[in-house]
Amino acid sequence: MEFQNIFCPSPWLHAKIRSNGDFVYCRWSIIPKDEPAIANIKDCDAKTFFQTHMARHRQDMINGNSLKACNDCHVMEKYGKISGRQKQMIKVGIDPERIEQSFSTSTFIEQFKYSADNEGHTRLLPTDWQIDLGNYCNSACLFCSPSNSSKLRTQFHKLGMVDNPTQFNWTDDPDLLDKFMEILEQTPTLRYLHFLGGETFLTPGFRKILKKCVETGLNKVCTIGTTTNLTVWDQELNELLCEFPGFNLGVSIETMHHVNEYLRWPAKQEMILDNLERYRKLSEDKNWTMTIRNTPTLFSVGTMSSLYRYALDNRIGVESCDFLSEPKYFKSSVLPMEHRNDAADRLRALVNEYEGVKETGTFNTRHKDNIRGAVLDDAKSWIKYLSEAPDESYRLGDVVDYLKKMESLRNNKITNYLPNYEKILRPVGY
Amino acid sequence: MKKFYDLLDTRYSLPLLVKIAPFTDTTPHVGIEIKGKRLYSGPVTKEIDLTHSIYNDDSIDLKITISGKDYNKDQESALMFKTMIIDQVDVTSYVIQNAVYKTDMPWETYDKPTNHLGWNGQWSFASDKPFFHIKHDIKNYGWLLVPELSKD
Repeated sequence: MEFQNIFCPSPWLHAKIRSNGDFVYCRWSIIPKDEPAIANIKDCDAKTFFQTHMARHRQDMINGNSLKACNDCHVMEKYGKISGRQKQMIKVGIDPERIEQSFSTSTFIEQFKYSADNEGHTRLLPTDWQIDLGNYCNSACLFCSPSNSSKLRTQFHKLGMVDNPTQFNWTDDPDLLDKFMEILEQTPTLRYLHFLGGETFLTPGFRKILKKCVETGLNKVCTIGTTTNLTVWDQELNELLCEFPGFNLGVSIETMHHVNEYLRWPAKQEMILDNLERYRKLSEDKNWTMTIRNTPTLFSVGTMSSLYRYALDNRIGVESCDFLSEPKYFKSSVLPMEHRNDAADRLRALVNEYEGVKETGTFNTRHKDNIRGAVLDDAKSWIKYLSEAPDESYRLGDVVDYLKKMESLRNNKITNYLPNYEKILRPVGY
Repeated sequence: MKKFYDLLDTRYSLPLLVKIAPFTDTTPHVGIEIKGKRLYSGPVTKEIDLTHSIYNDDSIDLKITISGKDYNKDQESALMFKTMIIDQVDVTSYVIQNAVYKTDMPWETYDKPTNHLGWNGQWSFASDKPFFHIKHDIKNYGWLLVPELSKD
């Protein structure tokens, strides 16, 4: 691969801390399971991790070495979806449409050179953190993982799929929180903190960090982002979020179809739609940037156009997650081709219906003047993916194995929500 | 395959197009320069495309000079700055919004953005930013971060 198709400025801008306190070099990276953690906040501070431990990733970027963990971004770009790499490039003045031509005028060029001359080291601190707070969650979404949902972990434990019913969450330890906050206070250009859970609105660490930001004045310079599962409405928290210059509110919903209840179990669709509307109005009122964050799977992709229509009609962004790398058996490409084509046709019809919308062609999906164009671009990337991605229907057997286990605990059935899936699942043992 | 230092060492030429036209049949004398290079000199009697190029790391400096207009004999004539495109990006509105028009009128500097150049004087657009930072603004790319080293 060419240098310009590999290089990403993210290791100069950003880092992530996982629920268990492991530091990770990128929010979009898919770290191979067998790759040991580089460092944990228990024995390493965030500054040492970023400036020293991440030197090797910066060196890889400078040398043009493609990292396995970056594969998701390359796949997204292949299917025309805006990748994390592209989003990071525009923040430093590298134009994703003209990487070669714009590289040398990047605002970070001197910092890239410094790292090139110093074995990848940097004197910078992240301007942007993703903070995974822990796995407290009142939902057990079917496609989620036990490290992101305490409720799902309990179910996995009952089924013998994990050893421990609970896990360590680093934000429960006040000393570790203080240790982390210290680095944030030292950062001269901190701009963005993105929180994930669990359900962040229920996680005590979320409120604690926000309050510490207010105490230290970081709330004057730092935009906040998070995603909620739309089961919580907390007035006090909403007011606390107003103390920040900007708030990117992600809301999780997969489809307007009632199969959403099955996927985001045990949430009820009526409550989710009520809260969706409440947050839409609040976001409008407070000038927050609200975006629908869906995780398309083989069970939602067929009715996903309903969600995109809602977003287009209400001028809300949609930023679907990647094309899903885990669990592999929930990928949309597991759906037999005939059904994928139907899903693509529904999205295509929607795109055609809104073809007069001129807003498009930006890599900044959150700009208010480009929201509808970005939604349509996202839909187009799904059309391309559904039409072109390799067939993975051989994983349907794994889907059925998993469904049988989960449905035995939940007393529900996918075919009650999507009767037409019976002919897909029955032949493989459902 | 290009590597890190290759991209630093290479300057890239970006095509630039300026489109001008007379408001009526003709204009007074017009001089157009980009970064000191004269692209046009003389009256303009029809729509003209002027092509040039700039480097990716160049600042941009466009000057349009109108001279010799006798207001007693000619009130209508003017030059229309119609379009400016760099590397296939239409920068016209950005240039017009940020241009400065110094005239021989009593108010000297006309304080509204305009592409209608009907007075003697100089209409100019200068930017220290390289082109891709301007494109960043035009395309609404959002934050353009400038690094600062850590405090200790």
